[in-house]
This record gives sequence, C-alpha cells and structure tokens, in this order.
Amino acid sequence: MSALLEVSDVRKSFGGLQALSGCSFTVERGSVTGLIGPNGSGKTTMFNVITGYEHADSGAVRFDGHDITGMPAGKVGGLGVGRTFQLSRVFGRLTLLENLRVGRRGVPRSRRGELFSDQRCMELLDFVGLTRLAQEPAGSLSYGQRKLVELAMVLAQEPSVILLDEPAGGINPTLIGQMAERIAQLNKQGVTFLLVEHNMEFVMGICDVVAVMERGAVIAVGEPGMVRNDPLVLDAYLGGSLDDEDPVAAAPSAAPGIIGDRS
Amino acid sequence: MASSASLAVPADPLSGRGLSMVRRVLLGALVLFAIVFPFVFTNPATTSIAMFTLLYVGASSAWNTFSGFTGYMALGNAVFYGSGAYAFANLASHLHLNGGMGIFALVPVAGLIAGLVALPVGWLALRTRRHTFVVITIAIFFIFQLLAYNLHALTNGSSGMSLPIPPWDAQTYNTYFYLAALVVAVVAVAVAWVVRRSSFGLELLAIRDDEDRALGLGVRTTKVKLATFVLTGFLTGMCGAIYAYYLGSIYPPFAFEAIFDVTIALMAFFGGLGTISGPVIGALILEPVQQYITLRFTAGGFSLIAFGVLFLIVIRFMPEGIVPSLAGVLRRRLRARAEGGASPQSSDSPPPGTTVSAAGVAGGVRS
Repeated sequence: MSALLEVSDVRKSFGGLQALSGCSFTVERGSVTGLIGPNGSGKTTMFNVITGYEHADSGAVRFDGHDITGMPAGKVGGLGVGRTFQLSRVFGRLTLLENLRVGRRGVPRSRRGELFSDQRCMELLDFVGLTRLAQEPAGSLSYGQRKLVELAMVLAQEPSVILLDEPAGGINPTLIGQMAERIAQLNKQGVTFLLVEHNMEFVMGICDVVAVMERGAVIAVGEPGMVRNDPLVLDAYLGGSLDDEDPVAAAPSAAPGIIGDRS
Repeated sequence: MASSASLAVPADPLSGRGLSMVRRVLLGALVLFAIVFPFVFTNPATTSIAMFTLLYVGASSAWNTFSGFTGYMALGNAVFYGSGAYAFANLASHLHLNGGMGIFALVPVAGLIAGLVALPVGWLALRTRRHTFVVITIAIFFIFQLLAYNLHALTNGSSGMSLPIPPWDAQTYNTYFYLAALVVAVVAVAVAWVVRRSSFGLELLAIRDDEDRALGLGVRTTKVKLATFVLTGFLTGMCGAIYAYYLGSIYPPFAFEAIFDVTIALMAFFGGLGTISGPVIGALILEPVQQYITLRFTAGGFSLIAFGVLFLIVIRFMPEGIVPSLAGVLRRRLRARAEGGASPQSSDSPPPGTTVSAAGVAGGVRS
C-alpha cells in the first residue's frame, strides 16, 4: 500500500495556543485510519488543515501526489477529499435530496450527470437508510440522521478519501452500528477513511491503523491492538486502559481532568 | 432537471418541482386578469396604483432573488432603481428621442446599465457577510444619493432631469406604463422561478444555510453571489427606468429613496422570504394599501407608521411570512389526514448536550 494522504510536520497556533506542534502521519490507500487522542489534542484542527478550512503555519500536506497545503476548501474537495463535521453541517432548510445535490459543482463537469442523477441520489439515501425522508428538510431530522445525511452528501461526490469527524458522536447505538457497517462496506469498495472518534469500541472495531495525537502531535501509530497497550498512549489517556474508556468520559466537561493529570 | 415524480417517494403536494395543473390554471388566470385589468378599471387613480404595485412586484421579487435566496439582506437596492432611472433619462435625452411606445425599448438597456453598476457594488459589499453586509449596502446607497446631487453631468444635480413626454391622453396614459410594468414584473418573477429551480438556485440556498460548508462542497460562492446580485441590479434598474418615464422628471430624492429599500424588503418578508410567490403577494397587498393611505391621509408619514405596525404583527404571528405560514398549516393538515396522527420522526432523539448546537445549525439566518 502507498500513502494516499501524507501530513508532515504541520504546525498551527491560534494566538498563544499551539494547536498543532509538528504533526506527522500518513493514511495508506484503502485503509480505515483512526485518529484518536484526548480532547484538545488537535484532531479537529488537523482535519481543518487537511481540508482547507484552516491554513497551517508550516509543514506540508500531500494528497495523492498533489501538494494541498494551504489550498482552499473547495479545491481540496475537488481533488477527492471529502469530510464531515463534528457538529454535522447539513443545509437545514433544503430537502435531503437537495442537500445531496449541492455538491454538484464540486465534481468535474463530465461526471455531474452521472454522479448527481436522481437515481444515484436516491440510491445514496437508501444506502444511509433515509429514502423515506427524501423530501423532508434536513433541519427536521434527528442529530444522528443528520450525520448520515452528511455522509451521503460527501459520498455523492465520490471522493477517494473521506475524513469523518466523530461519526459516532452523540448518536444512538443502532445508528452507530449502521454507520460502522456503511464505512466497512465503502472501504471494501476502495474508499479510504480517516476518522476522529472518541468511542473506542467503534474505533477498535473498524480501524486498520490508529494514530494517537496528544498536544498537537502524533505520539504513536499502529494496529488497534498494539496502540491500546502502548505505554505512551496509556499515559496520555489518564494512565488507564483504553478498554475502560467510557464515551461519556471523553465529553468536554471531563477534559480538564484528563489533561490536568498529565501536567 | 427531471421530475421527482419518477422517484419512489411519497409525493409532497407542496414541494413538487413542476407546476401542478391547478397551479397552471390559476397562474394563467392571474396573468390574464392582470392584462385586462387596466381596460376594465379605467379610473386613472386606480391604474396608477396598479402600475406602482407591479413595479414593486418586480423590485421586491428581484430583491428576494438575491437576498431571500442567499440570506444576504441588501438594503441598498435603490442604488439600482435610481441608476436605472437616471440611465433611462440620460439615454432618452442624449439620443433626442420623442415620447411614445418605442422608448420603452430603452428600459432593458437602462437595466443593463444598472446591472453594470451592481458589479462593483456587489464586488465590494460581498466581501462582507451578515450585519456588515447590511451596513455596507446602506452606506453605498447614501454614497449614490450624494453622487446624484453632485454629478451634474449625469444627473443635473438637484434641478433634476426631465424625460420625453408621451403623446397619450389622460385616460389611457397609465395603461401603457401599466403594461410595461407588468412585463417587467412577469420577467422578474419568471427569473426568480427559473433560478429557484436550477442547480444555481440550489447553490444560493445552500449559501443561505451554511456558506462555508457550501464552499467546501465546491460551490463557487463568490461568483454565484455576485452573478445573482448583478441580476437583481438589472431587474431593479428596469423598474427604475419605467418609474422615471412615468414621472416625466427625475430628482435625486425620488430616484434614490431610502424608503424604497425598506419597502421592497418588507414586502418580501411580509409575503414570505425566499419563496417565489411571497414578494408578489407582499407587494400586491402592501403597495395598494400604502398608495391608498397616502392618497387618503395626505399627512406625510402616516403610511410608514401603519407599515411598521403591520410589520410587527406579521413578525409576531407569522415570522416566516404569509406564504410559508399558510403552507405549513396546510401541509400539517394534509399530513395529519394522511397519516392519522402518526409521527414521521424516528425514535432516534438527539442527546441533551447536542440539542442546542443542532438547533443552531438548523436555525440558520432566522435567528
């Protein structure tokens, strides 16, 4: 396997806060890579830098042979990098079908008809199990359903890599299972995934490789089984075992405790 | 775009992409009524009110095509109204044209000039968003008003410009302007309809709901916004040109009128922001009321007070405007009848911690 996405020594600070301090890792083609770490370790900032929503102070991001460092969000998307957001961002007053069609301009002209046909849009909604709500405004959906719509919106553009920011965050167990199933299915079809997630069961279940971030840098990379026994990682996570981690403990209110123990 | 009828989706009676038979007939009847109106109601006072109403249908619809669809609340469209008026006056005087029917051919030309004015205005104003955008458009409006007083070569300053006098008698005078205004109003509404149904219009609505997300999905937000802004300028300019020709003379305070900016926005809000029929219904109700009040109570400003009260009532009881509120009631009725009270929602409810943020995303500009 060759690296599809390569992040090297990326730094980014907001005022005095160093969000990324020399972050490097690679995402292999065809893999499902997990990016985990305590709150505030820079995972979402890393996503923003890769997808052009933020610009790195230094360092480089390469995707499929292209240097995408500092490229605007629309262009990065056009190259085949899709992403979802931690707080799902759907177009609330557009119907689900319309939501899927917004990305029409983001693909090459020659492929628009094929990728955004009524039939394919309906297939995508069917894929995430929301066909019945095709004509409903996205704002009327539950939080978990919105995450699925976001996934379908991204899939519509047929990206080669999809970045998922907490795909299982704040949604019910049934939908979590559905989400995991869909990711595995797409991965089999050749889609590469990079995902940030706090639900360890979810991460360990679907990821081939896990990269652990702490304080703006990747401190460990490996197979899920290896990473969960890495002393550095255990130290970053409260010194406890990852198996014990309760998704609730990763909620923002618990974050100061996790970080406080380290310093 | 293909019709959604072929899809295996329970068709929603109010969100179909084509026009239903009933709607087509109603629309045809409405246009027919509008055409014969001045020949039935020949009283010049009536036709004058009707003519102004149609101008506002056009201007409010044009405003809505940009501001209603994108959520960028422009309060300076009088810039294009005034530019269209002065462009028309200048063209007529420099070409030494006589009054008559032929001169209406200059209306689209004046519109194009107003569209040209909208290009730098939009380029500048659209570098900002939300409240800043509103303030910038107001500021640009006042700059143009000031220019109208001072650019004597183009506007003849506060002495104003006179336009060719048409050779029509008092009884039929208004009819010509009425029909010209009807054409512009129909064009403006048709443009809104076409835009709304195109993928271009979908991009505008996506910008309204979450501009940065749209950008990330490949929507070229700057281009799309500017193109629509210029289109709005063109349509508004045509309204201004007819207005100038009708008045027979044009002065800075009439061409660049702050009340115009507020009125067209109010009409769209009143009828239903971001809908096709909203600004039409808003203008059809509010403009005759305003004209009537102005005729009846000559004391200046009374109509403005009445407008303010009306606006407060609408915002309080129908915050989305008449059309969406009534459509919502109708849809709920139909659904209740169809499903016998069964809820379409799934059991997956958002966790307490995320409710606020999720609602924030859905709320969009309404907040």
